[in-house]
Amino acid sequence: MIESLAQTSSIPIQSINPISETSGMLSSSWRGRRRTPVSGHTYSEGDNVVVATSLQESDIAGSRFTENLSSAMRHLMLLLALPSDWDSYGARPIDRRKVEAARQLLVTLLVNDAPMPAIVPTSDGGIQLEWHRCGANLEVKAVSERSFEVFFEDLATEQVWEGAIQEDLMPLRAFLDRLICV
Amino acid sequence: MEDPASYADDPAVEDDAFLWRRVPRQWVIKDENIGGFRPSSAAFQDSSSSPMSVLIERIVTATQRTPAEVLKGYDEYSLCCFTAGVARALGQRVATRPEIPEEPAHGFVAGKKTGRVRSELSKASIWVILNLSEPSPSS
Repeated sequence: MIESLAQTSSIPIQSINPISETSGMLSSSWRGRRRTPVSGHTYSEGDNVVVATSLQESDIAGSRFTENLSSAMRHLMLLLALPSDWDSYGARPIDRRKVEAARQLLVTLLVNDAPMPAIVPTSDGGIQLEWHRCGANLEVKAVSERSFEVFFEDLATEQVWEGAIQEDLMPLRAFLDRLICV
Repeated sequence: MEDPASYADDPAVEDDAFLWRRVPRQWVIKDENIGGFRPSSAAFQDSSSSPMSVLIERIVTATQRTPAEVLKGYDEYSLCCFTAGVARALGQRVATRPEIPEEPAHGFVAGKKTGRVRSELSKASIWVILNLSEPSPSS
């Protein structure tokens, strides 16, 4: 029997509303295997995300979600602080709107159990998310508040997909499923 | 940016010539497929003012310099390399234009860099120097 322990964590993240069906196109455009909110969760805009769970399997996953999200938000904040020419090749500072687009996408993906990506700044002031695992490569670059460039490659089948996605994130789902392996 | 077409391929740079690319720590990422680190594909993008800068290894070594000396002043950077032939096979041109007076080995890799091109350059790259130190807050 799994020992039940009370665990509480609080993540001071502004303006995160990952469960809302109406607050943003990203969170409303992919209704797949969304995590069921743990009882007691409140996800209100501007509030802290408070988690109070016992350590059962689904809750451990929830804790992992909040840890990943917190880590991702800290990383994005650090990237926002990069000065001009941070890459020594004349890079632009990171665009706050592209960070926001990446943040919204991250919330949607992580709440749907996507693995944690590498979060990478780009020379043109953008943000790119990258996964290299399970014999596949996936790269998603925020090019504006509502559009993303996607590159996917299955190393076993040599299947490659490259294109742009906007409001409909469903093309990403098959790629992300491919990144989950035992 | 100057017309990219003006960066002509220089056949004097042979296909097996190594091209070095400086990589800041933010572009060094884990790759579970290879069980190690790779340069992000974001490292293989043109800048806003010119095509992607590289150093041509043969000219660097001809000027009696080591990889570590190339990174002097870039404390948190790594150095990766790929061949001119790989770049050309991806539709890129390798131009020798030492436009930086103090760097005779400077060159460019010019051409359209799609996601596939950037990914292939990333996968084809090997580390000359891999630096995993954490970036300082100001860099």
